[in-house]
Amino acid sequence: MGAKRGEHIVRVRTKTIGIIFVAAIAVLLLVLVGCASSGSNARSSANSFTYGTTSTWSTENEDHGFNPHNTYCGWTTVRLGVGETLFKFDDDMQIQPWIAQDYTFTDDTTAVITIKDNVCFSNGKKVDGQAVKECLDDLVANHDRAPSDLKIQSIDADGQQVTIHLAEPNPALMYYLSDPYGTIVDMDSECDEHTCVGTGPYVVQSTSGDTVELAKNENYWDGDVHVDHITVRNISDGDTLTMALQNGDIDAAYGIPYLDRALFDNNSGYHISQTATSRVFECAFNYHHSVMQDQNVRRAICMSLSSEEFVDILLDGYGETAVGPFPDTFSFAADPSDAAPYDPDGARQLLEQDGYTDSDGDGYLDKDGQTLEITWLTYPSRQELPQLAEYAQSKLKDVGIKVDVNNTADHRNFVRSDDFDVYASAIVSAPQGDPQYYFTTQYLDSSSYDAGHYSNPQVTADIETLSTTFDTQERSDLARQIQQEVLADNGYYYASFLQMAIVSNNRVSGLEAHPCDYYELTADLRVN
Amino acid sequence: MSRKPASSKRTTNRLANRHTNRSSNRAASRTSNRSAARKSSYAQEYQELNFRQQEYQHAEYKQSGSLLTTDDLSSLHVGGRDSEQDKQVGPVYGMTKTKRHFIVASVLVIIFLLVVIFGGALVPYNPYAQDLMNARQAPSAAHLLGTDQFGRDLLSRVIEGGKFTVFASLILVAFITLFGGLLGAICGWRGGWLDTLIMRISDVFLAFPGMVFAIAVAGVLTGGLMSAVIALACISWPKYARLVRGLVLSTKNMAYVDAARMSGKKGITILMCDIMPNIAGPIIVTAAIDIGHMIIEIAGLSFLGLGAQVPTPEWGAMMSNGRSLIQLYPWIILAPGTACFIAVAVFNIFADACRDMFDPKIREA
Repeated sequence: MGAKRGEHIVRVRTKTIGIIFVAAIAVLLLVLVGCASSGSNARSSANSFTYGTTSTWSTENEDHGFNPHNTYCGWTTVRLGVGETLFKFDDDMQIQPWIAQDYTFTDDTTAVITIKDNVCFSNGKKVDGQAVKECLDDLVANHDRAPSDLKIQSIDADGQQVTIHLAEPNPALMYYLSDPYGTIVDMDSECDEHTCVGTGPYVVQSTSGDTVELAKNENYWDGDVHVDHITVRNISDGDTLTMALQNGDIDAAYGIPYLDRALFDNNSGYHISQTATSRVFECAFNYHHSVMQDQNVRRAICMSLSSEEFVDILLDGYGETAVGPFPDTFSFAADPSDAAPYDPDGARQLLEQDGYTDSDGDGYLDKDGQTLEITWLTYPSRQELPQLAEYAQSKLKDVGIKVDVNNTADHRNFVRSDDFDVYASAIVSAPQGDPQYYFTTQYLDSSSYDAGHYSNPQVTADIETLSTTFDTQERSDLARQIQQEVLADNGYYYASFLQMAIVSNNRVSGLEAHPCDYYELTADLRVN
Repeated sequence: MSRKPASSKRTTNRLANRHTNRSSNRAASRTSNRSAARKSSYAQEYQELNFRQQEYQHAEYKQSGSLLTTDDLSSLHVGGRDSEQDKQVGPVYGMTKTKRHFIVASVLVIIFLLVVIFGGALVPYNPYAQDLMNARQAPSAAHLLGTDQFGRDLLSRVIEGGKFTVFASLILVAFITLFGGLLGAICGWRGGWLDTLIMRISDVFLAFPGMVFAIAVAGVLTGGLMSAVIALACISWPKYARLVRGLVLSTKNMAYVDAARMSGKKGITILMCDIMPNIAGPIIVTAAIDIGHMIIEIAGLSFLGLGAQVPTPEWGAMMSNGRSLIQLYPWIILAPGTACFIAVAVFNIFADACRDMFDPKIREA
């Protein structure tokens, strides 16, 4: 009786295990089928294109929207090929006509711009002088940086001509009008976070969360558009972006981590378009904090960090070393001899001369009972920045400075509340190919991005002079002089420049990186 | 009727007689005019009560199979009670299989903790020192586990990191066991509005998905290993409160507790000296199992950037730093990942051995 019952139990158990095994296999097959279908999404339609990016349409940055008159949203409008500016930059960062045909300065404060006759918005409306005037009027009325950059007093429109009257001479006017905030949009149509009507090859179809759907602009004025539909996905994590490109979820990617580039280099399945940009990784010292007001401390920090070491080893060579805010491809780049030399021993001596000693033997210097401790604020969306923070933490520890790293996506709030000693960030220093933009946004008391509250009357006076100087050579000389003064103050530390890269698979052509860092999706894009 | 009538009755009678005798002696000293016959009547009544309680316990034990009876637990803590199988000499070292497993697991844990505690003195390199010329080196004789992107020796960092991950987990488990256990014991013993209040508070904590709630708390506390420990403590204490409350509720009306009352002990003394030692087994087993869980969860929060911060070589933070290099330099993430796996495995083996030791059914099998 007992044996029979035992056999029965064994049979039942065997049957149960068999059912579970079959069910597990079935679930596994379903999962595999599911993965297979999602992996082939990007290849599902021959004339559609999926683009992954770490930067554009990012809630972490100030470009989450399409209204170019709102902070940096113009970058999204131009990067995604929805809008265009009056002038654009060529590969040498020289301005060329785009919507505008040409311009002339009739005197120091009057500029006349002629609009091309065949340009129309994506809704079919013709772009004339009046449309440009309305757009620029709204820009000056609403944008945070444009009024001080452009110095526009009034605008007149007559047919295809626009006459701009300036409050004071502004030799960089055309450069500023080429900034993404100068994107010409139809002010009679809706223009907000989710849509706008521009003149670019693509129109916004919809937005949801981290995704933007674009469609071909059937009324595009400058030739044929070859892609019918584009999906843009903001993928803030660089590693996820790499894997999305590898498994075919996206066709091309902007923001692949530099160390992952080796996966695509010399790989026949992918194409890499890369170029040096003026996006500089810089550190601003907080002049509102007493420890940072000590120039010896600032200089010791600069002397403890090696730009070459950071680029060659930590960035694996995918970057350019920095001296000042502009790469040496610009005529107004700083002279390498202006920067503090890399000399950790000298940095230590400098601090000891300043009265710092390691009195408690904890490895960190102190003075008046206070350990030399600084807070290093940075953010994770640019992968170089956390690397720089950890590198600096170790290097400064060797010198005797204790570094607390605060690596947070909420960095802007910490900046507003002055809760940092060093703020490491990445900024495009010359988006218009001209130095004035960077100086006015960083070095003046009134600058919107002067996180460290740097102020030097001589620098302020020189920037004023620069803003009224038309001669190119004189502008370059002045720009170098200003950088020399700031570097002598050790007001900032410049670590490196971004080497921008767009990696695409073999289906894609016509997607090329540009030194200005904001021309990405254009009418040249093709998908095979 | 009873599964183990002889030993159970012997134990019950021994306990009941001991408590009854104490109770009788104290009663006699306080009220000298009480009659001996009356005392004898009380003692008989409580002996009968104890016997019925014991019968009920055995019936419950048979139904639930794995439920530990108070008798089983009390026997472990009141001097221990070896079963017949325990008394038999095993084939190796004269022990049962369960005891051998327990000793082996304990030795593993001790070795692991010794490595974690004293490993810092043995590491070949400074775990914090960057050596950029040797960045991203594959495992070799010079660097047994390779180096990370800053040229730091991974073996040194993994050993140093154990201090943070493992000790944070041990401190966390100790805290939630004591705090949650104390609240549960008070709830179970006192009952009433206090029990209702604390249990409703625990319901609130249990209503959230654990890890999501921990992420939120750690985020509000702006990260750091201490924040991670606090966040996990917030979500973990209700489990212990409920466990201990249930155990106290199931034991507070048992015979030996009644006997303790009769002997003149006060509430808190009974709770701490009679009940808590007898319900410690399941609590210890649960805590042992939780050590492995907490290692994973602390590493998880650090992996998300909400735990240990750079350059602390906490295993989760190390994995997070190496995540972006997994395709080209996999050893950078594999080293802390393997250490995490070994730590969890060791503590889980120990937890299983503890469970077997405290479960008389398994221990005697």
